[in-house]
Amino acid sequence: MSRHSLIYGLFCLGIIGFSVFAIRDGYSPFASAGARGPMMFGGYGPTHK
Amino acid sequence: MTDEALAAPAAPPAPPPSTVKPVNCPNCGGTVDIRVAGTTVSVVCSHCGSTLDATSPDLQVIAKADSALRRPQIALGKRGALRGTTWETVGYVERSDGEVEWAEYLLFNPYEGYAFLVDDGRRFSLGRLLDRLPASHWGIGLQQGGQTFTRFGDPYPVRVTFVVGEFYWRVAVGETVEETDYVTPGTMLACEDYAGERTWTRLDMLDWGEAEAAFGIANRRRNYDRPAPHEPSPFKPKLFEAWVIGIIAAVTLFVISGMAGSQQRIASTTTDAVLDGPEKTLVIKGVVLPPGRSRVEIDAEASSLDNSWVDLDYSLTDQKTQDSIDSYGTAEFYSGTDSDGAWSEGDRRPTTDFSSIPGGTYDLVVTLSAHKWNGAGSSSSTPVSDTSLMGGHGFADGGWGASPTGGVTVPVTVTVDRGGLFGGNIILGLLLILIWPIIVLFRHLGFEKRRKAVLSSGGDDDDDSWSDD
Repeated sequence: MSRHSLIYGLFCLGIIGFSVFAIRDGYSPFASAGARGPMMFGGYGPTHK
Repeated sequence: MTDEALAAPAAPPAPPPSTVKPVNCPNCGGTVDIRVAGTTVSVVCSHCGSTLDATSPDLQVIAKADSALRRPQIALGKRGALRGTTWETVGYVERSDGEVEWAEYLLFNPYEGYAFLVDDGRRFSLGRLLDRLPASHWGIGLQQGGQTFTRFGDPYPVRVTFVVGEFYWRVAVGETVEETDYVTPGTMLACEDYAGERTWTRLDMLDWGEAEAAFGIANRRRNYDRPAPHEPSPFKPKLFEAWVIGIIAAVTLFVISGMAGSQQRIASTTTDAVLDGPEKTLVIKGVVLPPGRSRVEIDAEASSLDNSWVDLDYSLTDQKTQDSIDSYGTAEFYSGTDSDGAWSEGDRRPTTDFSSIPGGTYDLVVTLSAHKWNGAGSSSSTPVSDTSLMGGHGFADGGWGASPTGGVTVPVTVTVDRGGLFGGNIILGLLLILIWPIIVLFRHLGFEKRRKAVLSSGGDDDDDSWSDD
């Protein structure tokens, strides 16, 4: 196994480890967070043209 | 045994007769060493470059050199062991197909005969003449030594551009043969047609540094800018390993994702929001989360929305610490007709996720503000202090109604779940896992493209170059 493959295997282990942590703690970097900011009002309506 | 016999030292063995036959060049007078006397047909003077007839007693000049002599990187007469056989370099020839140039060293071993060390400027290949014809393989290739070879391009002329040393055939600058190549990764079968005679040579690519170590020249830097036709892709083993590791990791990711468990419903309630009316506040009490951390998902459904929207602001407040976590969502739906026909857009059921919420009992405060879309002039309403507290399950009438104050209302159902899996995590994990296999795949495809570049457009330059680190 090449050095690149070894590093890639460790990288995959890290991904799996992160996934285990995320599943256990219900974590997601994509989850909604924070209140609506003042600039977020007013951007309504269809975008259809 | 007599004393005289004991005293007399044994006579040293006679040195083996030299196999090198020195002769003088009739053109310049320099000494020319014929290393394989009896077999050599032509020899090229290393002083003036003239091609001499080695079969003639007085070494007649076949052709005078028409250019200044160049010194081959491996000196003639140098010996080196390649794959278990010691070879001596006796001749050096440079050849060109008009676009690509390469060098060939003629090697000699008294037991093995002749061999070729082909130098394409990057890597060396060891060539041996075949003593039997390769077999045809289904009419589309050749089979030799248990390997299958496919033809690499059309026959092309190869011209000798420089020659020095001695050869078992008459070779001179300008000699042109018609060559056809058949390749398999790591090996090439070269078919040469010259003056009605056809010869087959098997070229096995040597490892990086193998020939350099054998003949004591400097190692060359690995680069894959211009691969040889029979050069195996250095990325293919890495590609195989990368996909094996990646598939194992992806399957593992799916397995552990399946262990995440399903969502559990905590609460669901329905309230009415008045279009362009005052904000409404809904409180869902007693949202219990287990110890540790949990995912909380809030779904708001306003299925009767049409050309209107509802702002939903959420505040999840810990009853014990009064710490709150805020988020928001927007339910909206718009439709109409234009020259292309009917259209619609928007999401009547927005989902809002809270990530990694600590265990405890929470109150979920939902602030709703509904608005009718009246074109670009629509604006948000002015909040008023009209709030109501609700707990447990509410109702849903599924349609537009009228508020006690006469405004049009939209029923909004708010549902709270905990647990479950974030699909975005799985997608992110898969993308990260796939990055390296895809990079290696593109490097492999780029190598193959450069390897076959001479087949298309006569070997156009490809600026994509890679070095193996």
